[in-house]
Amino acid sequence: MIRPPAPVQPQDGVSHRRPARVDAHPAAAGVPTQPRRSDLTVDLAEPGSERRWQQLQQLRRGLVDADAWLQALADGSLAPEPDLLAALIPGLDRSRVEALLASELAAEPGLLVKAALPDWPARAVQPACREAWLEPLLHHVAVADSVHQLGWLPLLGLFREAKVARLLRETVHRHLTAEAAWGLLPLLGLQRQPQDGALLVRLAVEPGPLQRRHQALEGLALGLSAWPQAVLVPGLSALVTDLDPAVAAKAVDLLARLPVGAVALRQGLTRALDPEILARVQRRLRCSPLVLLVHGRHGGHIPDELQQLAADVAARRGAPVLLQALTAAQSTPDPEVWPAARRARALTLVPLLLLPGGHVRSDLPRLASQWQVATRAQGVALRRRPFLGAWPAWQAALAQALARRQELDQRRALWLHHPLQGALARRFVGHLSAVLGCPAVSTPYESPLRGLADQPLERTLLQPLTLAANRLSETLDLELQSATMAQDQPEVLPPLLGWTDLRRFLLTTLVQLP
Amino acid sequence: MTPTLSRIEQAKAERCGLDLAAELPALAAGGWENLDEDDLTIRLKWLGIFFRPVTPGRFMVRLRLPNGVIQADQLEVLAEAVDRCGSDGSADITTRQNLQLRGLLLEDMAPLLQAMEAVGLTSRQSGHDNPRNITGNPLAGIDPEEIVDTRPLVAAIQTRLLAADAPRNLPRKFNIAVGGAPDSFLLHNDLAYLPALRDGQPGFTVMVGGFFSAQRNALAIPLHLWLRAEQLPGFSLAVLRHFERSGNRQARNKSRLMYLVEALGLDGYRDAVLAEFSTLGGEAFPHDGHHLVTRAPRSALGVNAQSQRGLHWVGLGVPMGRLDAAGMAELAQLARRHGSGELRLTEAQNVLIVDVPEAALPALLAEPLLQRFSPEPGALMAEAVSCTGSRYCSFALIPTKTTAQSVVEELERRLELPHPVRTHWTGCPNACGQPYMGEIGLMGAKARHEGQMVEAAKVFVGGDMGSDPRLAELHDKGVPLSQLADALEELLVVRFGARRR
Repeated sequence: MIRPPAPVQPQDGVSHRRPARVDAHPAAAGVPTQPRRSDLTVDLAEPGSERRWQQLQQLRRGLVDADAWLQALADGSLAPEPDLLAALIPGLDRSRVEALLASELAAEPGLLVKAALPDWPARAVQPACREAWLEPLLHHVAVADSVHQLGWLPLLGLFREAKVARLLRETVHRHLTAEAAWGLLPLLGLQRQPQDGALLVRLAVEPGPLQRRHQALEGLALGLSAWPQAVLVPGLSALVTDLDPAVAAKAVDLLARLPVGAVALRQGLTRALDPEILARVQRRLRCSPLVLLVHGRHGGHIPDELQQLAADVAARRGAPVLLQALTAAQSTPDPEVWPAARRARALTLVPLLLLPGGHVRSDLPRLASQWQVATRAQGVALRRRPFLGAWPAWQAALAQALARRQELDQRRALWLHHPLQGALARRFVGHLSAVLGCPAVSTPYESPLRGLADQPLERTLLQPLTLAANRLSETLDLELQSATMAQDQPEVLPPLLGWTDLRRFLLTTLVQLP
Repeated sequence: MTPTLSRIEQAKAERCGLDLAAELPALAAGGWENLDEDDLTIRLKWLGIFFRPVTPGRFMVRLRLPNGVIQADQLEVLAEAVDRCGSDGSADITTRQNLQLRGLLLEDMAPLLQAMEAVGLTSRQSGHDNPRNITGNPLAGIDPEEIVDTRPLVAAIQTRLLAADAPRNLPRKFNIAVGGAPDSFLLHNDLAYLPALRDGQPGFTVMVGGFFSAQRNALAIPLHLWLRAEQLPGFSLAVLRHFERSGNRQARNKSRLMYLVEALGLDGYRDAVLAEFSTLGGEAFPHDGHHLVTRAPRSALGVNAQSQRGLHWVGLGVPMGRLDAAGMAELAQLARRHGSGELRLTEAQNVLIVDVPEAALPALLAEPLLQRFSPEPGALMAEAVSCTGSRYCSFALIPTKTTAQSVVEELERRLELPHPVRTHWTGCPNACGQPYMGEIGLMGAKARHEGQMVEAAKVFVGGDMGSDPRLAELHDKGVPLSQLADALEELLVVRFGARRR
């Protein structure tokens, strides 16, 4: 048998080996039955010497006969030092591996596993290594007790093979609370058996020892493309808000690598995240800068509500948001816009306009052309979104908000807009009235009540169709305050950004734009 | 009889690794364990992708950064790639003015290569038997002492050597460098062009055969040829074509260029290369080998006036050349905010921010990042060079970078040094950390200490990259790491004039 000779402790305290012990019948003892060559001598240089390094390199590369070294290990003339075993192991054929595993050197996994492991990942993909080791090691592990099984699996687990995956799976299940088993989770990931995705996700997500969760997550990372997305994406999405920053960060990075991950990450932008994790999500998404085209007021002034919205969107997206008023001259982008646009390779133009009036039909194409020229010069794409009023989701949100308010107040609502020109605008107003379930009233900015003269206004909710306070909403307020009306005078509802639900909708939608 | 090809040569002959580029997404989907072994461990290196046995499943990508020049936009792309790897991600500045990224998944490769291409970066042919990143004067174009701007020359050589008709199956790796200043020490390269005069005309003398390995270390020797600057790409191609055809493919430990030079004799080798060069329409001129490189490399750290009036470069010490994603992104920001957006990497594994106007210096020097990457690091830290070590390399016998950093920090606490001392740390006899070039060289080893085998370092002393270059020689064959600081303290006091604090 090959056995590690027991060290003798001499007087000087320095460890020496017993003189070499030669087995009378090495073949019978399981040592490979190569003809014994009398010239096979082993003279391993001192640890740390360059000669030893070169000897071991030659052994590792198969340039010298391994039998002499095996024999020297067997007869005890050589100590089973890790560097020697590490050099010897890769070159063994199946019969020698079987002999080695049957020897006392393999009675416990520690020595061989420690020696082999550093090179094993590269070796395990070699057909010769697989041929030599896989079946003997499987057999060896199958008959070992559970503690020794755990010890051998770091080697065995690097062979991708259904039988190995099953063994790993069973061992992980059996030893869920054993720290030694947690290191097998990355190996289970390497096996890339789709059915293990759920286990790895569960161990990463559910409360448990942090180290186990990390290892499960690494298993998910190493087999990333193999796991069913239906299991993986929700699991990783849940981990984005994990209290452990390393787990959350890794979940973000894994999601970012998935084809559908960007959608999940964009949803994450609107969740309550640790600032560092939010920054990581933003880095992964590389959102494009937004240009929000808004109506603006006299002199290009932009109402505070819109400025606050832009700031909130920018903070969540981690990308500049530029507010451009229709009434202002072409604005100069802040210096961060173009670098961010280059990183995202795009800039997105979002007209926050609610009706297809003259601004949408004339000013918007003109401004879009200007942005087209500017983005082309910067080598980035211009992404154009339709004007906000045309978004079905926006219309639905608006309809829902108005319906809820009408029901709550038991009043009917009218929505007010400034006069519009053209058939297209008229058709749109008709369409929107139908969607909102309440009629529209066209009324001039300077005297809104004049436009409402034909309307019964008792117990009425008046909704100026504007995101932020404008001339129409302000004049309407003033006129109503000064008008003498019945007790049930109409109530003017706030501009749309003053509605919590609508602001949230707009914030979420803008934040989640690519 | 045709000699039998080794396994590596067979793999290379069978298929070029560049052909794997289009298959990367599919290979990633299948998992690295399903890759053909030769694809995994050999051919992917043609794309600059390295399987790392120490971190199975987590790959390395080595860039090509000609002359060590990188732009902020490019560095940000790389920072993003490292950032995606979380705590597994890092980047190393290499001794070839290059960057290598660690911790990447195979899934990252196709998008990363695409993103790199979009900003003008490539990792092509940066590993295995290829012409490696071509180095030049890190101060090219800004150096008040410049003899010649090496950037266009390095770029032209790279373009020529990566062209479709250039060799793709060399017998061994091949290092090329172009000198452009009096301190361009390049004799560790297989092919080095050193600035030299011929009849008063500026050009380059050709040096060949420098290399370090486990078996042998040699400095390049004069080939006694002189070239004009515009001839360098063609001559480099001729050298590589001849090497491809004539180099040793039987024994990889005897396949570096120096062995071919020795096999043919210097005169025979020169004749063969000249014949190859003539097929490209080139003609070189005889030369005595004297050149204008006269002293050891400057540290380039701190604030330095550029050749352009009013502009400065600021050299920052990167401990052991190791970067993380945040550091990379911040360096890019600083380069953009305070300079022209350009950065340089040095062979001493440090980074330079260039084109900083005088007025911007105070703001740059006040940046928090400079607490980590100091413009004025200690006399040892400034010049400490290290290979990657056992954290990522299975050959390394010690964790080189962490050991070097802790020992250097400890020594700087204990000692005052009158001048910087260049220490080169390497994990094994393969000598990637160039220990023979250091005034002090350290090589990972094992040694017996108190009855146990322990991590240790061999100590080499006396490397000199000045006018009379020489390699460091063995001083101590194995100091346990636990005693290394004490041993080096003594050495620095006795041999380098250090004073104990």
